[in-house]
Amino acid sequence: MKSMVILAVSAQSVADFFANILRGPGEMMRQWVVAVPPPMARGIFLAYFLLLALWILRLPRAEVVVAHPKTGKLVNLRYIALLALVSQIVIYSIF
Amino acid sequence: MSLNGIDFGVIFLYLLITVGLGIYLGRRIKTGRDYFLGGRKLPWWAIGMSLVVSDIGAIDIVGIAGSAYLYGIVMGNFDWIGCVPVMVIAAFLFIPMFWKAEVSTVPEWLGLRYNLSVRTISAVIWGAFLACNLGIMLYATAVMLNVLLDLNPKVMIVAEEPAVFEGVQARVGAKDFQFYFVQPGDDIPALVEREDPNIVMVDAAIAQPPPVWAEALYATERSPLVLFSGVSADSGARDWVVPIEGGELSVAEAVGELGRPARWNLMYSIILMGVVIGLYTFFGGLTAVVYTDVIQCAVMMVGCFFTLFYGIHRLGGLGAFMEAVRGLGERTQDHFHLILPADTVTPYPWSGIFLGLGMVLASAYWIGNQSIVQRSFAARSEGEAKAAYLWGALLKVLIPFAVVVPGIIALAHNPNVGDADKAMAVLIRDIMPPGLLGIFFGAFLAALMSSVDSCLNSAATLWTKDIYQRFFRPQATDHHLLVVGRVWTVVFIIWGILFGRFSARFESIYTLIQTLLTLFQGPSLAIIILGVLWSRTTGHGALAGLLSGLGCSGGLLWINAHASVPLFRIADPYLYIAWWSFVISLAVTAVVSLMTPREPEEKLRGLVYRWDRRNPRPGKEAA
Repeated sequence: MKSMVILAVSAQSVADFFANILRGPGEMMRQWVVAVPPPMARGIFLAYFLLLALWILRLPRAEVVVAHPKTGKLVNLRYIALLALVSQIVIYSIF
Repeated sequence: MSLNGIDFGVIFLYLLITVGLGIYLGRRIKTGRDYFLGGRKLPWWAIGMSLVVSDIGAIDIVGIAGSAYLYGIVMGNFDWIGCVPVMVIAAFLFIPMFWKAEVSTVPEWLGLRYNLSVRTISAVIWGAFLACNLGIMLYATAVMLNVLLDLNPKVMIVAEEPAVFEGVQARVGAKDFQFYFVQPGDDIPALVEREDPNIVMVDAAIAQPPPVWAEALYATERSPLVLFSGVSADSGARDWVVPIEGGELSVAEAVGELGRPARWNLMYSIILMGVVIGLYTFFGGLTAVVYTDVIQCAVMMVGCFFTLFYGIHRLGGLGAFMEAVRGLGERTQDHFHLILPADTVTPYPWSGIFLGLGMVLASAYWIGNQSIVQRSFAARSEGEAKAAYLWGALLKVLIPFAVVVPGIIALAHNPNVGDADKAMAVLIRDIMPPGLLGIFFGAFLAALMSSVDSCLNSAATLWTKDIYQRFFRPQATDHHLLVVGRVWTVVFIIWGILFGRFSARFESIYTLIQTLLTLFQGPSLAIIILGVLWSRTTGHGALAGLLSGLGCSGGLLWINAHASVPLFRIADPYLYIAWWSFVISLAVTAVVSLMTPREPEEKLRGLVYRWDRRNPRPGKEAA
């Protein structure tokens, strides 16, 4: 029993040692994040979707155009991807 | 929720069609490739619908609606930022690389790109996770089934004070029973007649002298009636016991020993679900899983959207619905906000949602989760694999309207539901016209089956390809692998049913396994991303990154649990742990890769994004 108590105490002191090292930078980062007002956080979300949309627009045609399996007609997947991302921009702008 | 004959008819028909379709499709299965990858002949629209419905389990329909009841539309983040952008990225970057490599599993791709060690570690972790998760999913969905159908044993507690009711309820164990709080002034004989409880427990303090209704209940011998008394527990808190001849029982023991046995055991639900899902997965493999998922997706969408529109209609329209929610005051001030401050009291701060969910967990799920990605390997062409993911992303845009918003409707309908997980069931029970309950229940069953069948088929695939074939029969024929795959399917169904029973006794197993998956996802994602996007990534780098990421997430979890003051301020810091283990894994993989020799160029061909275009084969260049 005594040895288990010693083990438990030492586990806690080891954990505290590392926690104290990590807590400083962690707390600093937490302060940065907490300082971000919700409108700016919303801007980060929207910027993410906009950057993705920009990337989709810049993809080469060979990577976004596929042949329809039955008709052989070419389908541009870029528009479907953009539709999905624009819907996100609308939703995150509203809510 | 009580179903009538039409409801049961709809459900029976639905189950019959699902199993019949699976067995019918099974007639075309001739090889292991047919069984694990649908012969690589599956269409994009079916794969897309299967992706979406596999992601939504029965637990999600009930649990997410319950969380939406408490926290609002913030739960929509799990389907919007947690799915849509990463599905678009996966469609153009990762899925084509997997498809071109003609692999059956993600660990198999890791083996091609890196080495056997990375493949084995990944396969063992995923194999163990899928096997255990199968049992847990069967158990958890059976619990939901029992809750929705009122199949759990009923305990009626008669007491003056709500605190006494809550105390007894806590001691008996709230999860596997339905409790009714009745006060002495209520019409107790009528309530007993209506609810038919398995046991009626009466606070001895209000039963002296025995009330008239108690005498009447004794006389009918309908439900066993016992008296409980308050005593002081060792901790000083109040406890409750049932005095019997020669001693006393705790209230939990009394329910088990003196109560009437439940007509429907939880285990029956586990076995029933296991057998139905096992039948069509055994015969039809991935093809059956995907095509039955199509039916399930349609049924789920119809059921959930019916609930959405009918629920809003019953509240008087969209404006009235929003007004009703906002009118609940402080508790609903953020119910229509997707982005909550970093120091919110809810578990969903924007920082955790954006970094942990949006950047790591969602990506790991849609890019690296075997039970999800496997179906895209089965597309007829690379283009269809991409189209399937994009179609899935479009459908995902709709899911929060079908699953999250009904949870908020449930709040507007009844803000006083004690257990949020029952909010959806209460809404359905109260608003659905007779005969239409079957629609919602069909949606629930669809969600349940689609997740379990995916898990079952992926577990069989992974254990056959990455464990059995790799270590025991590298030269196995395709027909032999089909037989082994079916054997694994049977083994996992039996295992799932038994493990489901085991999970019932140790609920913490569920939390443990979900935690382990969360810990593994960040490092796993890091080595897949670097493997696809950076040709300089080496096998040694990936192995070091994978192990250090696992060490980082395990270490953070351990420090958080053992430090005198927890490292993270929120109760469940898994989103943050996933993020940091991803970052560490990414950094270590990059550094060790730069310190070790490059991989041979031929090994990278077809496995690294745009590598073939930048480095054409000499013959091709000349041509």
